[in-house]
Amino acid sequence: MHKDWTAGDRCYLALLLGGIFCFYLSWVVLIPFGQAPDEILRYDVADFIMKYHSLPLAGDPRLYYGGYGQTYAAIPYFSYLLAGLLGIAVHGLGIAMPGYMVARLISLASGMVAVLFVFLIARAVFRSRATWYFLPVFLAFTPQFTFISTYTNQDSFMVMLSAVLIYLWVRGMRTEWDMPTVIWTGLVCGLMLLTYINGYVCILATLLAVLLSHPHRRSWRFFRKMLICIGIMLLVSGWFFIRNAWHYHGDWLGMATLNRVAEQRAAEGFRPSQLARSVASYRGFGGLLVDTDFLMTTFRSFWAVLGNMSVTMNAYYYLYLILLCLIAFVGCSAKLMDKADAGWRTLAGCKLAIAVAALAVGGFAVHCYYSIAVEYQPQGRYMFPGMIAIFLMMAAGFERVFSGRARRVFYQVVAFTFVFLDIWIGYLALLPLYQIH
Amino acid sequence: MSIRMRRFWKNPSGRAVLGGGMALLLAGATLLFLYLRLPHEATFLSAHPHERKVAVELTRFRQIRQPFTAGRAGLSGLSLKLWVPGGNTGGLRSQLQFTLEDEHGSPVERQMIPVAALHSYGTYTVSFPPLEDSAGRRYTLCLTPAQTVADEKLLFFVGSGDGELSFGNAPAGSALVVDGVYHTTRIGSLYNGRRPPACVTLLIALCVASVCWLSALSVFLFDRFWFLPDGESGDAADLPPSGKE
Repeated sequence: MHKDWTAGDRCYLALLLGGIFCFYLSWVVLIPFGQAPDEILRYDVADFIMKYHSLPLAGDPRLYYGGYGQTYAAIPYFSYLLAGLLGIAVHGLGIAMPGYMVARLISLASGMVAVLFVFLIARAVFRSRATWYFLPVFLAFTPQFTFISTYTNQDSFMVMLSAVLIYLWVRGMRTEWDMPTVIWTGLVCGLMLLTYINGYVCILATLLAVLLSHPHRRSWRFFRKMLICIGIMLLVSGWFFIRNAWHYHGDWLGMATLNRVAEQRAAEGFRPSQLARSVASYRGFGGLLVDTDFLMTTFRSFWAVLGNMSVTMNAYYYLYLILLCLIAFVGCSAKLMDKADAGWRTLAGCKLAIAVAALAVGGFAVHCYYSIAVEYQPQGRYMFPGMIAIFLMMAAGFERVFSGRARRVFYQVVAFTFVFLDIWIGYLALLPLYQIH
Repeated sequence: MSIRMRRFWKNPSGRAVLGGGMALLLAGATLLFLYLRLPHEATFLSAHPHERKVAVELTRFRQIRQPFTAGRAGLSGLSLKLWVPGGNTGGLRSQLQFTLEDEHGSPVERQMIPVAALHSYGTYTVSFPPLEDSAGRRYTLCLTPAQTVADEKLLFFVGSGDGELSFGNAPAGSALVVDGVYHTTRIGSLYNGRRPPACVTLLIALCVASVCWLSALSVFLFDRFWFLPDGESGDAADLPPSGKE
């Protein structure tokens, strides 16, 4: 898969990764601590590890709980663990750098690796070199992706893992799931288990990809590989869940503990039992889509709602994004119709496309479920487990709608507007907001 | 694009020169645009421990006086944390008279502030011509209701700070949350005490580096998407089917 690297490819990657490193780092420096969703609570876990050189337990009085009594110390927090370890190393080397900025570097690195893997996926999946160059730029300069790559959170790390997983699907489908791919898949799924509960949908999608594409599903070889993969996943992540079960009386995932601690620590009137339930929790999925602003807010915040969900873009910007999504939708529909013309059974041959579509839909389904069953949160980043899949589908749609010179002009216009709008947002919206006014 | 230009572009050294030049031009234009968008003034936020809100009905007070010392030369405005409760300010008709007095009590600046121009959340900046010799001088900010409508209220932010606030002649025992705005260079507007100067320098360096780098990326993409013939830009028909799915 790494054949056919040209000097142009290497030059492109150097320009892209170098550019986004400087650009993302400037956002890391620019955004004040706490001006991002729950950053204080998220960073608190990393800070605990830096200060006390041990893993935190929910309920510990040394943790910060805020008015709602929340902590991220009960549920999986692998990227905060990495941030804590990096902080210990940085301070051990005598580098005077604020801890929160060290923690943000993990998100930055994750964002860069995700972009790199999207390039590798595009190389493997699309035949047009223009799409190879377009897709990573399209992702890297999506404002919300830039934003999550510059503050302390797990979304960025999870998006990176989902990109690596999709790359492993492509590799697995090509090599009939050889042993190195199986081992890497187990490792990445294990890290996903340790990272973000919404990201577990990527593990289910991986299972679907394997079931669809493995040529010998009833053979002993297949079961052996599955057992090896699951064994590696458990080796990588099992310690955390055993620790949780031990300390939280069998609550291995930590969700019940989260509520129990919030009930104890929240200010009066902000306890989970005292908070009003949303319309969505009464009316279900239909009510969520029809009676609330769920779809529109999710759409806007999937692309660009920054700060504490307070910095929004101009309405024309969202209209431009709607137009892009419509073009992609038309393209994807046309591709589906092409397959239908060739006979519906040919669809079964598009294993990667089915798995990618399942991940995109699964990401949205998990997002809806969370808003109905747990808490109404119409934030686009909750469906980021499907982000890479959605971008791949959009690129496939663009490829279908445009061809030849028209495609390259379209890519050029979109890439150019994304790069310069992201610069605009960073230096003409966030810089004045956080540094001047 | 002329044939001659295309030929020059296809020559590797010609492409490097032209591409580099275009990237530099693009980066220069972007940086100049960003530079020109920077203001000529810097707002220095001062610490106000124990900050709290005080609601005041506009018909109920005669004057608010807040003495303060200007921290540096070129005082060109005051940023007031003054909210309008209720959210919608559009229909409000009250007006406040803003007066800035020097240490002798003589007015230096006088303006009318329509309450409708204030924000529900945020700050309001009163701007005036820079006072060049303001460093270390004592001034007094006065707010007097000029036109009031019953039931229209303001939320004043007060806390511990320099100079005692007085409502009419009665001292309030706290200080109004007000920050000085000073005339400075465009780059100087970023060095406003919000973060350490080294951090601001790093931020500026990163902005310049990222704009230059991303301009080079844009020119590279322009080259790939526009100038190269279809085969080199990788349209499907020109790529070997092996290795790509």
